[in-house]
Amino acid sequence: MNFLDADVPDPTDFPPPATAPGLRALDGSFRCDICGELYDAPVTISCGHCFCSTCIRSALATKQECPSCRKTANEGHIRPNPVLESVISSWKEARPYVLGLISRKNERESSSTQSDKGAPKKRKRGVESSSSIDALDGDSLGPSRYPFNTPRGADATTPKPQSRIKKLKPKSDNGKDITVIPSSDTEEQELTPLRGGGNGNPKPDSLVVCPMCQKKVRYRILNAHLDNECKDPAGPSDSAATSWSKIMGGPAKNGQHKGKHKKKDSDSDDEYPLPLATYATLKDRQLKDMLAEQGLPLTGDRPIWEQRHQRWVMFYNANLDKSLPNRKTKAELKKDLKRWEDERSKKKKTVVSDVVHHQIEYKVEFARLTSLAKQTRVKHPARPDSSASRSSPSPTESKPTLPIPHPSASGPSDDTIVVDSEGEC
Amino acid sequence: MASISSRRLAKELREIQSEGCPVGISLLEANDFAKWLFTIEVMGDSVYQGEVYTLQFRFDSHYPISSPAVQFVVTDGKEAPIHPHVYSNGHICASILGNEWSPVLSVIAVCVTLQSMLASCKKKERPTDNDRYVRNAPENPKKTLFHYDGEHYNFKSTYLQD
Repeated sequence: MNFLDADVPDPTDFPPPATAPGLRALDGSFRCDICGELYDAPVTISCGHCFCSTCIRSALATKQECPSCRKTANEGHIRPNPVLESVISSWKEARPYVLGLISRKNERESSSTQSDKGAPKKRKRGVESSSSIDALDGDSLGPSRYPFNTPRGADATTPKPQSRIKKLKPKSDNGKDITVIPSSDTEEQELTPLRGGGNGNPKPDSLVVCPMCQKKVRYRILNAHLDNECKDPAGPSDSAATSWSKIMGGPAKNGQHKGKHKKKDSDSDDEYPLPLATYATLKDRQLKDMLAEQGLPLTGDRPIWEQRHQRWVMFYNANLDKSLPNRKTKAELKKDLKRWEDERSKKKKTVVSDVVHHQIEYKVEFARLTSLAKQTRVKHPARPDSSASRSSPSPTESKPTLPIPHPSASGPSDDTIVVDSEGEC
Repeated sequence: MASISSRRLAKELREIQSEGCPVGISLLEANDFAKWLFTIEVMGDSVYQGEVYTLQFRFDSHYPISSPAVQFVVTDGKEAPIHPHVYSNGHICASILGNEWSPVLSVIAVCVTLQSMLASCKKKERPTDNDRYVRNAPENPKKTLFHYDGEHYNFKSTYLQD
């Protein structure tokens, strides 16, 4: 089916368990039960179930329970799962490689069964086989040729060494402030020469060689170190202020992790999730201000603003559940938001393509709503304001809206019938 | 490119194609990510023995966060099974299609649930409020808020817009 041609990787890329035990299940267990993708910003909720942060946030916005076990859950239960996150990023690298190995193994087997039947198949190697495939040769696989559609990115080059692992280290390792660090290649680079450096004093956090004991200590605590006769002082007193200011997002950031990611040093509240809003209690003005505060566009009407803001909060908070190096910038998140809105407006337009048919089909409903609207207008002549325009169509409109307000929390999800979609960008 | 809903549906479809449907369920039509048709048949001893019904799924852009609209097809000579939870217009009163829907459920999971709903039925009868419901029922069963009355065979339905 051609609409399936889009590359949507899923566990069936791997051969069934009979051929490749566990692989399909392994790939499946790395996937979010909601979206079916490899976990993106995996989080755990109180019952222990794991989802993509965005997925569980949108699910909880609809219903406050775990989608898997139905235990009560809410946004406050969401905890990032950095271990799973790094598992996933490794698997993302390994996956095409494993698939490549499998498809090459299949090719080999099929060619060998064709060329000489009866010969020991497993030992037969194609010309392209390299040492990297040796691992598979011991497997006792039959000549099964499962026709799975594999060869994407089927290069057998070894994965690039991951640089993330190093970045994942806690950024302010206070233990290192005091302990004397044995010489190692990585730390060597941070070592600032004490003498003859040419650029004045080293930075407070730079490692310098103690003139007495020849060990490396931070310049900031060098004096304390010397005063203490080169024993490691258990003096957190000097670093307490800095560690607090680090916790509070103060200006204690220094050269050590500058430039490792694009985060601006200035807005330290980037670390904090945005609060959820109860849109029903907000005035248009307030909602607009909230959008403006986040730098979001004000196009569209009130329901669109609400959806936009709600989605933005989800994307934003989900992004914070990623480990620092994997996070997206605000600009990237805004692009995601734009894409999400575009997809939705596309869908809406197709739904209402046949307006005439729609009007005929819902003629009775329109009449009922119109009369309803007329009644409410008589009842509240003084308030022809937002609430009226939202929930009941005014009879003067050329195209009647058919709002069937969803009393459940899934207000924004009720988009199956929207006629006045011309306000969208 | 593809939105979350269509990617998720694509995965479900590939799984159906590679691993097949459970016994008694088969994919009839899936030409896009908006509407799928399945045939459903109760296997073994039941009041529906030998009867094959057609089940229609419609998906919106919020799937799987929002549930699919599921109903039996009652056009082109097809009929809905006579069941205390199934209205003669094909609408189904099942909690997992409404407030018990969970985004981890799938199309196949819904099919299996409905299959077992039919299988457990002892007596063929329409819901008590069938006529009243069918007269004013919205086109999309998701617009109906079904009320579960506690006892299995007694449902009342109201429309969301009421």
